[in-house]
Amino acid sequence: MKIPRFSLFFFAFLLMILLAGQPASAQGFSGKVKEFTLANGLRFFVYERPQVPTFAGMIMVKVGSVDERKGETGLAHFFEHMAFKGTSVMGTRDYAKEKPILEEMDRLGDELAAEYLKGERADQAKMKELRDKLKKLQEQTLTFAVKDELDRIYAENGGEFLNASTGNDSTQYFIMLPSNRLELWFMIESERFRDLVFREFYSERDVIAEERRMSLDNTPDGLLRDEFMNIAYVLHPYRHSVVGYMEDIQSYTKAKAVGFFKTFYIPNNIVAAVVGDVRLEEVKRLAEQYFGDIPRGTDPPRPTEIEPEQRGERRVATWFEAEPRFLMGYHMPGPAEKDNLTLSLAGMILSRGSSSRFIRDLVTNKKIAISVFASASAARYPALFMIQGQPRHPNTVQDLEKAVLEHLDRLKKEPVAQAEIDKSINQAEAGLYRSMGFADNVFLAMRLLRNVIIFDDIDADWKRAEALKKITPEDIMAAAGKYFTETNRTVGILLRKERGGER
Amino acid sequence: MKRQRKMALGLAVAAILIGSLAFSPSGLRAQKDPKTLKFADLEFKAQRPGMTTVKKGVTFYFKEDHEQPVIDASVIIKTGSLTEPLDKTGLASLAMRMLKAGGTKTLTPDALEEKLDFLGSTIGSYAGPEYSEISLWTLGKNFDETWKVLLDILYNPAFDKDRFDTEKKKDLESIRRRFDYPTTLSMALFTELIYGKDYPEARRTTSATINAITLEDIQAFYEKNVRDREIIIAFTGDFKQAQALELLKKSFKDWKGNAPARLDIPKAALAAKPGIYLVDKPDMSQAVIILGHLGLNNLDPDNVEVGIFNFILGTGSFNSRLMREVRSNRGLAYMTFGSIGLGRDKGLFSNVCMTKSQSVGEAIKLMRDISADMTRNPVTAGELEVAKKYEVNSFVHKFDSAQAVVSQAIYLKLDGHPDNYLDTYLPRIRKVDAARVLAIGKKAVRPDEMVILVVGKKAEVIDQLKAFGMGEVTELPLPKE
Repeated sequence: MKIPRFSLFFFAFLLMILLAGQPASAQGFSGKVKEFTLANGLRFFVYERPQVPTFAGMIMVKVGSVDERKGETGLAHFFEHMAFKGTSVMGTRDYAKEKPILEEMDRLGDELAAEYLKGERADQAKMKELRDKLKKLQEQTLTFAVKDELDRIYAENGGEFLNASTGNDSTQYFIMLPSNRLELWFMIESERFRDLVFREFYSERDVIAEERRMSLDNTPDGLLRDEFMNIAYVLHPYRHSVVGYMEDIQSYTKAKAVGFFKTFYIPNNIVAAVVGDVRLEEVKRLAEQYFGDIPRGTDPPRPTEIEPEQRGERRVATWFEAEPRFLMGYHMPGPAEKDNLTLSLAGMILSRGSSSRFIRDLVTNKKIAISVFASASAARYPALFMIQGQPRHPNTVQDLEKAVLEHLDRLKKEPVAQAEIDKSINQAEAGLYRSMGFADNVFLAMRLLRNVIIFDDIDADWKRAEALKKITPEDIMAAAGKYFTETNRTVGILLRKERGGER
Repeated sequence: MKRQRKMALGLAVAAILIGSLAFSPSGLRAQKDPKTLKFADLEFKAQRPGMTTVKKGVTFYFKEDHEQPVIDASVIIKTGSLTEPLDKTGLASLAMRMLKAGGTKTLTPDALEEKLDFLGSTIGSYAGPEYSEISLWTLGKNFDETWKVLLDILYNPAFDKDRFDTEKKKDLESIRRRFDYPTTLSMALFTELIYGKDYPEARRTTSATINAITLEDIQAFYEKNVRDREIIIAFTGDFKQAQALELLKKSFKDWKGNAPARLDIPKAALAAKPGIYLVDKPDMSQAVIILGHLGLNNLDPDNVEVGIFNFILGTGSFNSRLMREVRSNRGLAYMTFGSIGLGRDKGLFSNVCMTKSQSVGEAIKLMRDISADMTRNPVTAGELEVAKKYEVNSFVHKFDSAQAVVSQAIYLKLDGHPDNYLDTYLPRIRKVDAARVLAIGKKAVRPDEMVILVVGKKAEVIDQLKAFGMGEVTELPLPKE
């Protein structure tokens, strides 16, 4: 899941890209995209598209919620918010005077976090006092602050779509600008990661708490997904949400955040794309000028948890004032394994297009559900094959589950028709082109960099679509038999509280 | 496709910075300040798509773009939900969807879906209030086949009975699920409070109106409002305009292109009494707040200039007062925005935020004060400058893709804007001053006539709402549908 900094719309766009999924054909990006790497390891991808005098710039950092440890969930996303707060010359009138106040705030902030972590034994009066002091100091910093100056500079220069998003696997910062502002992008983006000042660290917690309330706690799908992931995984960090647990959000320390930043925001852990009306030589020159002197860092540590094999079905039921929802997941292998692709093909056969099995049988003919969607994952680490659906009243989530299981059983027992495979391949190929559209340049940049971060190959999505052609009906049957088992299954349902008994 | 002149990059780039050679120790590095970079405004002339008349009542807008082997095509029909009777609300939408879902005289619904999926093409159809669309997306190599299906849908729909049952049942289930999200619930209720429940902008389908629609109604809607109606066709992507024009002449040889009857748009009037309205949702830890009243007409003389007002009030993201005060300075919300909206008769003036139950009162007061201030005091020179520069320099993004160029041109025309709207856009923006922004505020915003809707946990918010002294807090029932 991706959580953007200030727009839910972008979530939809990202989904669109992920769903458009495995694009296709003998083509790829490599003929059109030029790559170069700075001495410090920062890789740049340049796609010259001169049709309109604009460009999209995107910085993607290989750090997401998967890189967080217990007790610091949400830190990658929290840091993403911090990255908009300016530098020692941007966002301030007098950093020298601001700095000691920020340091004093950190001292109080550490004290507050320590008290908070005492849990039920925490001294509430002391916490209130500390919060009040922090608020006062925060107000003092405002006398030096030039609020949200980064946003202002970009806006004045015609920046559109300025945003960032954090996902399980990566964090990305992006904007579209008129093409004569290329240097501005380079300067701001390099400075914000080199000379970042963590301003508003403590008040931003409140903003993120509201973000969590909005995206998880007060929406049926967010709530169900959060509860579901918490049981689908027992060890791997994919179990926690990108926004993090409320308890962690309330207790990060500045030291932790700075440490996280220094560990992951290093040039050899960053890839960048510039797509639009730009010239390779110019991008190279500016990249060298602005990013060239950032020192290479030590390769960051990666999660050491391997999710243990699931040995029994897991179930969770949660309550919310909304109509029923259904989620089902099976652990599946990561993108390096052939079965990853096989299951992605199975997902397409099940639910891509009106003539797919789920839609035709469960939505159109039997009318058990108004939506059922199956999708395989292709992420940095092995993740889940997910099925989500909304039953149609008076059908229940149990009716839907039964119908879904019948379809999964059919995949295990009967080879799919070659025509279904061919259809999926055609859809995948079309999907490669489909994910371009509104804000082309940003999406192209996103696809390129995602290919690099997840697969280390800019043509990965094209190649995966091509590789679908080698998958046989027998492969699908074998993979279905191997992964769609009862003991490998997690089921989550959401019901209205008063219908708690209506299973 | 015409290639844009690359703008004078470099000409404007002042060499202010001391070249930072690689390996310069960062301690000695001069801080780089983006404010020192100056750029000339990007000179960009509004782009127009090609346009020609195929025949009476059939107009063709197009823009070739051969970068990718794909084609987008739309048929925009001058019909929509404004023509449907109140007790059959949802008819236009159902009818437009049934055009595709119901199959054709030669393709069963199953066969039609199978065919499109196999081609990797999509066809979508939906109804708007005044204009409805059938559109396709396809790889260029499958265009001919996909276009044939689209024409078949348009000329020979079969309205399959079982599919009609499915579509209706989907609608009924969507009605049950309509208020699952607090934000959707809030927006629907706010719109209803402002316009009144029968006004086109606020009208909602109910199980009764959906159940009242028969297959005969759908067929009649098609015969009367779709077939032979005036249409606009839009093509973008990898096609050749001359061939496309030939194709359209052939495709619509017998299409009559009848103009729709003139629609009388009812006058909008504020339906609810100004004041505070509350919907109790005991399970919510965060409340949704929407406050405002009616907005302005699409063709208001300030319809461009209002963009500056809106940027400063609440569309300029972190540069707007709402975001700055409500989120950035006080941490009361993650999401907040507001604007004077334009509409068919009148749009909505609305300010939105989502905040924890405990800060509802503070947030409402803040939002109300922000609006009120914009009716009393001029905006600052700094705010005005940012907003104007943003409009000027981001103008080019309106033309980012061929689809944007074409659909923008079509809908500006349909909404009644003059042909030179985009050419006069920037000159109008450049002329806006603080007095004009204030005048817009005075004209369009009435701080004392606000409808304030709160959807949240009553037990935690009611005292804060009563403290406003705006009279009784009117509690609204959670609507069933």
